[in-house]
Amino acid sequence: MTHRGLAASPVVLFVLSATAFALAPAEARERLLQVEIDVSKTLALVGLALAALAFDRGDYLRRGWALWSAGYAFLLARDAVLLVATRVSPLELAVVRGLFVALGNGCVVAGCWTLARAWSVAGLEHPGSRGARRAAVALGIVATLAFAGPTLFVDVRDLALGSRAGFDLIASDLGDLLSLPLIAPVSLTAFAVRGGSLRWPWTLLTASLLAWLLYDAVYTVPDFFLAAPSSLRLIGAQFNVLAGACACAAGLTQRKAVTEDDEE
Amino acid sequence: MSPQSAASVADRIASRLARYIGPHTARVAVKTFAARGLQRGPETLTVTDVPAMTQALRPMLRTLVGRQRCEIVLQQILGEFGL
Repeated sequence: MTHRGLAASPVVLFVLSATAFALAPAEARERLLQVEIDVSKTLALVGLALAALAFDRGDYLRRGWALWSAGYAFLLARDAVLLVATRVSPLELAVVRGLFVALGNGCVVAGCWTLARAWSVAGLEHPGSRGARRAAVALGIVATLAFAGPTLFVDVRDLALGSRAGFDLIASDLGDLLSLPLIAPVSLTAFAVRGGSLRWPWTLLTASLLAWLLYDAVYTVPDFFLAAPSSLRLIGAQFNVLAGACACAAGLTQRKAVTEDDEE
Repeated sequence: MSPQSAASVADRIASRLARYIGPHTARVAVKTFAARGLQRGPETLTVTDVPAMTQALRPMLRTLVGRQRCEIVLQQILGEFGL
């Protein structure tokens, strides 16, 4: 498959996933959505791992891709814990889920950080003036705080009030707050390599992070208007599917760019 | 060597890099690593500078495309100049 075909695949998966969700009976939608999310996480795990394996041991980007892949593995393990939920106590379930989510988000943050630093590790400067680059970073931070920040506030408040055991939610919120601002350096790298084969993985990585940001926004923005219909939230979760599909395509295009000679 | 052919050395190296990192960054990279590795401007590069340029470009390429692809690209650059 060409770079272009791989890059289009997340959009196709997103449309198929949203269509299946829209056509499914209302009572089956939540379950269908969980299946779609787990399929996209599995695809991300495989695509990112294949990208890591395209590099040699000791190569800088191998670590970044491998960490991100491990993040998805832990998040899948968290979902798998639900399968044994009836056989363990609520406390055990909360601890195990919290542990997997913390490990998963830790790996995603470390992977994002490693990939975002690749350009400076390579000894290059991102394009644009220093002011423009700072503005891009500031925009990423503000957008993350606006869309992911309120969720952390609500989850910490709920945990303090004891209304639910939310360690996994807080770990997830912190992961978003630490990784999503890295949209700026990742997108600047994508812009820098425009016209080259590396534009595909970096653009798709940017798209994956943007999809996570939109996922957070769908959960946060309706709260501002005191109108958070569950159907909107379920539709918004489709961005979770898109994020995984983009991560998978990013990994596959990265692998293709460094292992194949036939550049487009 | 004339300025025209000297410029083409930088352009030909950039052309190889552009397949991966795009034409704009490829030109920037040649300029950056000619200055760092050879303390010279890209317009002054000659064929005899190409091996030194490949050495200067190696860390950048290794970071962005990995060791194996890096060595392939550097061999292609050397081959382009019959080295």
